Amino acid sequence: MAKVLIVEDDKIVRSGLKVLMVNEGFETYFTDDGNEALRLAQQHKPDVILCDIAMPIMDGYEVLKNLRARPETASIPVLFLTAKITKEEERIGLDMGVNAYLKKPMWPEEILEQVKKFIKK
Amino acid sequence: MCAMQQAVECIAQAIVETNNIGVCLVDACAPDMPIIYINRGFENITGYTAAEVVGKNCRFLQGAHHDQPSVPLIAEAIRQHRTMSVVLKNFRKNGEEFFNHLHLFPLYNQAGELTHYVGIQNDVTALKRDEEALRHENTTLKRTVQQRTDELQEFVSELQSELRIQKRLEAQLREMNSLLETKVEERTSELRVALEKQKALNEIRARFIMTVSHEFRTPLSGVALATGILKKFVEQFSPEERQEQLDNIREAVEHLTELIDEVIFISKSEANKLDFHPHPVDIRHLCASIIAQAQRIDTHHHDFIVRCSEPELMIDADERLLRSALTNLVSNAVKYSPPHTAVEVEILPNDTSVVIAVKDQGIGIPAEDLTNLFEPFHRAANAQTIQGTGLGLSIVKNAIQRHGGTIDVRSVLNTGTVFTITMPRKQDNEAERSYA
Repeated sequence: MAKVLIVEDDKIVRSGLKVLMVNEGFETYFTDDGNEALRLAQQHKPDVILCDIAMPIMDGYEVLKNLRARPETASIPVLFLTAKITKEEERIGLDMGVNAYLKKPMWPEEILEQVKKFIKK
Repeated sequence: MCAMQQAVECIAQAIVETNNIGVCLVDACAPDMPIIYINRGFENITGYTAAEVVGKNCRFLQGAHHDQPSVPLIAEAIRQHRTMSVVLKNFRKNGEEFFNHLHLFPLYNQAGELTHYVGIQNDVTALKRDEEALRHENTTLKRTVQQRTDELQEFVSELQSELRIQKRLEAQLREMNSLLETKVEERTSELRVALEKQKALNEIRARFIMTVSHEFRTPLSGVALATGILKKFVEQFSPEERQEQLDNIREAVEHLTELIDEVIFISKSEANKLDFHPHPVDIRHLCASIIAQAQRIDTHHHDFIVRCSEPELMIDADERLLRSALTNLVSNAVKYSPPHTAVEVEILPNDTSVVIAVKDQGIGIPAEDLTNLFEPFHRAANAQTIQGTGLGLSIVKNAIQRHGGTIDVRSVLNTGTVFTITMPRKQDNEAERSYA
């Protein structure tokens, strides 16, 4: 079973993503904390990580950097799902090597389509 | 007679016979010293013949001019039997004035007694005239020089005064120039400041719009997810699962509504278009009602306290605005402090103002966040995980300032925070009108 890790500090969005992934049949992990996300990634080796950017304590950029810095998690595809929707913000994310830049709000089908792209690989 | 004596007599004879040197011999022993001999030169110079002058004292030549400075010198020389030499003003027979350079020599006999005086006369009129002319010319020259000097002096002083005027003008010009430069600089820097201000304002506005857009996208994302999920899985969902999605939609919509209200409040407040209708409000009663409301919805069993020395305390306020501000502060106090701690509102009346302090024993605010605490969308580092729009304190500040009041904050991390509002007791109507 494919594994998805959700990193999102907004309670409602996190809950929605969790329900979506679980009902699609993914093994789903979720957290609102960057450090916990790194731990979960290390432990469960998810196929895809869906990650918010603006988060307290550790933001999405830091999470991505840390994932890439560790050999066990370096190759896991990371998708930013964020409210930072300007061209400049998107450029920052892409330059950091994120695998996809998804802009909020997004319909569940669109999110699933993006996630599945990376699971097939 | 020796040759020498012969030569001397020859010289004397030559002098006696000369035409332009006068010689006269005076008897020093006769009364009034009369002339006893004159030569041809004397006659030539004076115009008198020997017959006319012999027997007379020489002084007749002086005419009426006996007061000449050289006359007493002659008398003195005669008295002392000395040789002497003076220039005298004398008159010829025809009345013409002439200058006589007179040399006087005393003559002695074998016994050494004074017997005669010899007078040698030279007509020095021409010389004297030349001298006079020279002196006159000299004086004229001196006067001219003085005059030219004076003129030059005048010219120089005119020049100097012109120079002074020019210098003064130049100084004035310089002063005006520098004044102008200062004015230009002032104006330029004013414009620059205005431009900077406008730029800063534009940046703030742009940032505000960007932040609002960000803030809206998250709850919208929640709505999109929940509706999409419901549509996709409605058949397989249990009633509870369906309800969960509906609740999520409701919550997100409420959050959006709250955001919209707050953004509208802030933009109205910044355009000075807040509704403001002050009327007498009992501040103690208002605080008590806010605290009661907070207590009703609080699930963490805080200890709510209202302190006020007066049973009733009336101030002029827009009740809706003031209630919104105080509710915000009280709900923050509840939100950011652990269960069972005290949330306290203290009201202290002064002569013209009322101080309202809202205190909690919560997590506190980091010092570095205090400066921007009242800026829209600013959230303290330790508040990020707690739900909030970041607009609450900005709204509080605007509402209090609208009343002409002030707000201050003191906070100790992990100990507690005190927000202190100072409200004027009276609102003058003019303030309302000018503000509106």
